[in-house]
Amino acid sequence: MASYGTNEFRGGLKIMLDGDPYTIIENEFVKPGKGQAFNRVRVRNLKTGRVIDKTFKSGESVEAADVMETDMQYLYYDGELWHFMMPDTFEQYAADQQAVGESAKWLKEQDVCLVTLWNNNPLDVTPPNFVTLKVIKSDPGLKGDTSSGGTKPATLETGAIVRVPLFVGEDELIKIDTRTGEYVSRVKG
Amino acid sequence: MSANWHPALDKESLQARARLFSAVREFFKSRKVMEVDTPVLSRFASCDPNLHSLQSSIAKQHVFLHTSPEFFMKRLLAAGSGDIYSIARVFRDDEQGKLHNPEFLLLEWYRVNFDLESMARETVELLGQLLGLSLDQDFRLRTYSDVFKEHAGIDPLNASRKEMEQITGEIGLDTTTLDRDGLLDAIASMKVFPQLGKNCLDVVTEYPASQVSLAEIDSANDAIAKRFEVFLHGIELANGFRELQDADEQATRFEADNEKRRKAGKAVMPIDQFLIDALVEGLPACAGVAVGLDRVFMLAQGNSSVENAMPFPFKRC
Repeated sequence: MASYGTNEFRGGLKIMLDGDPYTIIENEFVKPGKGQAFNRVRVRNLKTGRVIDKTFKSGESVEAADVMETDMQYLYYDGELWHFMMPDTFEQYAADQQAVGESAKWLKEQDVCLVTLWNNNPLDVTPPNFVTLKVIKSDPGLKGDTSSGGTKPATLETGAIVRVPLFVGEDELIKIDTRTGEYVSRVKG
Repeated sequence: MSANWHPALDKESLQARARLFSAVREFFKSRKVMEVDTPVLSRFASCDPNLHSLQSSIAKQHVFLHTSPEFFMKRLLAAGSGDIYSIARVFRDDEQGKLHNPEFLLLEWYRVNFDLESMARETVELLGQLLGLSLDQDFRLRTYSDVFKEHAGIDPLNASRKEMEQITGEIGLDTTTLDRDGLLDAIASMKVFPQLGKNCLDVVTEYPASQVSLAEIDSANDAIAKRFEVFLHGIELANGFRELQDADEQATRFEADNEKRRKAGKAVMPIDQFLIDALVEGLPACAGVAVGLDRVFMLAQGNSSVENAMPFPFKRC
C-alpha cells in the first residue's frame, strides 16, 4: 500500500486517517532546538468536509488515499443518482446524494464538472464556476420597489432559486457564479 | 525558464545580511573572542537521536556532515585556545519548514570560566544589538517549569503521563510511541514556546536533565540541567550550556543516546573518540551558546520564514 512520509507532506496531498480520505490544507514542521520534531497538519475530510488538526511525529508515515480529481461530463439524474462520463474513455460513474450535495442545484446536462474519485467512486462533485441556466419562474418585478434592493427571486431549470434584477423575465438564460450562488448577467439565447 | 535561478534576497537584503556578519565579528572582536573555523566533514557524528546527520564518503570512507561545530570547538578549547567563536555552516537532514532549512548558519561561541547566567547575559546583549531591539526590558529569566505552568497548566518535572496526554490530545497527536521527553517536546513546541518572547527576550533555564547530552547537571538538583534558551516572538534563537567536562559521563551519555537510537530503529552513530580524549585531557570550565543566525536575520528583516532570509534556500539549490 502506498504511503507518504511526513517529509513529503504538503498542501493538497491526499491521505487516509481513521479510514477516511483527507486532503492536507496546511503542513507545518515544528521542532524544539534539542528534541523530537513534529508535523502539524490541518486536514479536511473529503467525505464530510470537516476540518481538523492533527500532529504527527516527524519520520512517521501515513497511508496514501487513492484520490483523483478529474473533469467529467454530467449526463443525467435518475431520481437517485447523478451520472457522469469521462469525456475521453466514455466510462460512466454514478454519484450519490452525499457526493453531489449542494452542487446538485447547479448541474446541467452536458456541463463539465470536477469529480473527485476515491477508490474509483465519486466522492465530491464541483460544478463549473459559471453556469448558464434558464429562468422557469419569476414574478414580474414591482416597479419602484426598492425594499428588495432592486432584485427578485427566480426559480431556475435545475430547481435553484437565485436573486435576479427586476428586468429578468421567464424563459431567459442567465449566468450564475456557482461559488457564490449569485446572478452575473443575462445570456443571449 | 524558471525564476528560481534568482537568489531569494535582493541586493539591499544581501547588504543587510553582510552587515549582520560584520556586527557579529565586531561584537566578538571588542570582547577579545577569537574567530575559528572548523571542518564540515568528520568520521564521527552527533549521537543525539533527534539529530540526523547527512552522510557522504571520501575514498570509500564513510563521513558525516556536522550538525554543529561543537565537537571541534571543544577540542580547540581543550588544547588551550581560550575564548572562541565560529560562524559555521551546518547540516541537518529531515529539517525543512518555515523555521528550518537543511543547511543553515550556526553562530557558536565559548567563554572560559563563564557561568550560565553571564553567558545568558552576553547572548542577550548580542541579540539585542543584532536585532536593534528597543523593548520595555532587555529580557526576562524564566524557568522551564514556570513557562509550562503558565502556558500549559502543568508542572513538566512532575506531571503524570495522563495529564500530558490530555494536552497532546487537543492537537491530535498519537502518543503511543512517545516517551516522556517526546511528550514534553510536543507540548513545548506547540503550546508553550510559541507564547514566549512577546514583549522582550525570554530566557528559559532549568531544563529537565534528561534533555541534554552535552551540558552539566545542576549539582544542587540532579533533575535539572545547566541549559538556557532564548526566545523572541515565539521563535527559539539561542541555546546555551554550561559545558559538561567529565569525559566518562560524556561517553556514557553518548552510549545512552545510541541505545535510544537502537530502540527507535535508527542508525547508531560512531562516537567521537577525539572529543572524549580531549575531555580526558581537560576541557576548561566554560559555557557555550549556539545561535541560529538565519533566524536572527529573518526577524531583523521582519520576515516570518527563513526561506526569505537566506540567499539560496534549499528549494533554490
